[in-house]
Amino acid sequence: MNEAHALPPHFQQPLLPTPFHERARALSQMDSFIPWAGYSTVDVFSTMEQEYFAIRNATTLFDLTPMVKYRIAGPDAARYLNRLVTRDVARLKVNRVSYCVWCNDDGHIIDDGTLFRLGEHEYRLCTAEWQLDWLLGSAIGFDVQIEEVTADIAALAMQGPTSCAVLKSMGLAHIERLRPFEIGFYASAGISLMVSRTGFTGDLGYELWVDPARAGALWDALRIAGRSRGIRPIGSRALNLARIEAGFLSPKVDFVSAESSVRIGTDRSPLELGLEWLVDFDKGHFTGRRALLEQTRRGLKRLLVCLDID
Amino acid sequence: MSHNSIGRDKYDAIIIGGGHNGLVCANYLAKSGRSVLVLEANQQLGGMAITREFAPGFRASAAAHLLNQMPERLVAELDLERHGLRWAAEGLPTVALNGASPPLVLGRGENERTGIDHPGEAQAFAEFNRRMERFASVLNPLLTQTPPRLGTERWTDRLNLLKTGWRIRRLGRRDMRELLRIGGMNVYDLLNEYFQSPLLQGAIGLDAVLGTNLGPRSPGTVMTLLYRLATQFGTGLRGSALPMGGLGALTSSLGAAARHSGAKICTDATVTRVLVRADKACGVRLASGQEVAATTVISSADPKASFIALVGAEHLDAGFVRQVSHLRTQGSAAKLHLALSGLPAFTNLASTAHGSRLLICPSLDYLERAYNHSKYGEFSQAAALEITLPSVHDATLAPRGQHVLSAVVQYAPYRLAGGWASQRGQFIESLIDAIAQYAPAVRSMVLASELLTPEDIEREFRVTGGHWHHEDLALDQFYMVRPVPGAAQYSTPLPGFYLCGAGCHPGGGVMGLAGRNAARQVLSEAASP
Repeated sequence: MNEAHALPPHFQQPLLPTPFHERARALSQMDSFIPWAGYSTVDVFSTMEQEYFAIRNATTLFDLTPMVKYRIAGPDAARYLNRLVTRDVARLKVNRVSYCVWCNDDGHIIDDGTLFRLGEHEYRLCTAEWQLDWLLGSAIGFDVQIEEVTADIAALAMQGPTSCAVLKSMGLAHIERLRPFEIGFYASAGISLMVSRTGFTGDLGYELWVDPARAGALWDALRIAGRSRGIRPIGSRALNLARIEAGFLSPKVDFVSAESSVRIGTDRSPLELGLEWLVDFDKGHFTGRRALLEQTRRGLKRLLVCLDID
Repeated sequence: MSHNSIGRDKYDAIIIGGGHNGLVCANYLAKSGRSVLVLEANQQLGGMAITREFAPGFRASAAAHLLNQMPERLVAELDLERHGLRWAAEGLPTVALNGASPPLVLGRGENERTGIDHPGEAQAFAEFNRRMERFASVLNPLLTQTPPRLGTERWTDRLNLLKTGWRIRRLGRRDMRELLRIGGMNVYDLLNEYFQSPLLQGAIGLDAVLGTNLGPRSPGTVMTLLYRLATQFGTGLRGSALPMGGLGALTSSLGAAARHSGAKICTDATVTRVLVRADKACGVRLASGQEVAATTVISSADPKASFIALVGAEHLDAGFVRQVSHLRTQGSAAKLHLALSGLPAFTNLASTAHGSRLLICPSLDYLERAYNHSKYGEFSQAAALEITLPSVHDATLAPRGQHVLSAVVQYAPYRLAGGWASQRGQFIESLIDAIAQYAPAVRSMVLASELLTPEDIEREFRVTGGHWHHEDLALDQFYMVRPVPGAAQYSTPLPGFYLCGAGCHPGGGVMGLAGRNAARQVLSEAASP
């Protein structure tokens, strides 16, 4: 049966279920769901502490489907992206991933995201917030096509020290050879999936990308394969703890996104957020470059730092 | 002259486009000792301000056909009369044709006005002119200044803003209040307040919208009228004038003056790219593949062409490019040229008045209806026209005894539903019909015709959207936001790259002040890096 026909009209369903929703609901002990980018997602399954320690000691599954995904393709895609983000992505190879931020003309961060190079002229950009307006506005003068593909791809973050072993036991050949920020393509139990060695926890981990129709089957296979290695689903609260510990930034939490800030002076440049390693002034022009150079000349008035308290 | 004779390898300044603004800019830079190269894509120098043959033996100014906005001061500073500029006629009166009734004649002096027949209308017109001239005198000095930046810290900018405020204050309480009241109005409402005569209303209303994509009821058209009056304020006694040989004679004299000052001018030299190195404009590439280096690159092309096609979006911030792409650049004025076997008689028009600026715009409603069509992608069923018969004053434009009729046509949309190719002939016929209502003999005299639609203007003169003023004259595209914030002071976000065309303050029309202001800005920024 076509799922679209089974769903009530969109105005009666303000939050959409992800392809993993039924699985997650069955395992949810706290019935704690929160909205994320138009989807209903789990905040906590059991307790945040249990889930956090699973990230650090075992393997965890986090439903990443609501992460907004854009397909960016066309002859100018590489030039377009290098003008969009502050980092030099011109040398990003096919099947590699790069973490990037992008700024407005004033050099203030709009959002961050991971950029996947899937082909010579094809990329996928994953972001926390919708960015279509800025991406399309940035496309003027470039031969690129940009479309949102969020609902076309189901995604799971699989994070924790035993994650590699679990995937290996599922038959993902040579998964241990996948280097950080590398993309590989695998098949397991008749499910073909894309795996990237990326994550938001600072631990060993992968992100699995799959056809939504096979999402449930993948979840079941992972749960079976990971049983002896302590696999458990986690909600966003535990993930948040892990990402703060790893020093990863979250837009709208650690900084106000430039295009949504209301009060003057609340938006931030990558230099002020300690992300100068993501800014390449030598790669050629990118949006915000002149403003950031000016900020460098004038000196920073504030700087976000990570405090590590033992 | 072609581009294989470019001369040296590197210039102080390369100017893209040899229209009047590009040439004016070249003149001032060359006079101050810079090495200057002007690159014009077309065979003929002059951009849209050229005179060209449209039928064997018949020549007409391609776009604007009257010179009524170029300041006397600029003509004198560049010594254009010594470089070949002659006047076929000066101070032409405006005549609003009235069919079976006597026309309305608006000369420059009060005693040169006839046909104002409504009671009290003559006084109302005198009062209207007094006010408008005062307002125009307040605005006129802005035309020769570089617009200030908002939030400026430069004392010259602040002083200029202060002076403008002071000039407005000095109007006195009543006139200042009136200026602030009418500044954002549409010209339809304003003219209905002042006048009853539809013919007089139509004649003034046409001035407010000529060359734009606005109708008399469009917001801000009082400001476009004031702007036009302000530009004409600086033309001194010459008024509406016809250069001998058409508008092309003006750009020829500008070219001669520039060469005299040492500028190098190449035609048939199409720039395809502005070269950028280390975040600085450093030269241009031509269609031939040849590259020429320069310290400064100045574009007289429209802002969309300059930034998106020539510089390229990759060298500019995304927000800036988006603003540029949102500029309203669709033209809706066309140009009609008729080769006539004789001089047609106009009903009720004295034969001595044929050389005037003739208007067909019987009322504001006529004008607004003409505009309605273009809003929806149709050409006007009954168009408003500004007509000249330049050959009455200038025998060089047509064979002996024969004449040229040149008309600015409001409105012909850039994007015509169904396309121009299949409807061009139909539009020309309807325009000849419109003229024939006032000059019945004209139809039998037409030997040849030419219509330049905005689409033709875009193609022939490389102006995005075919807009005479490069982008619409409107409150949100004027002064310190023309063309967009960040490029309104002739310098642009890309160091070494400047604009000098009609897309900058103070805009289009054959005025030359954008080129003059840009040159001053280039020189002042080079002096204080």
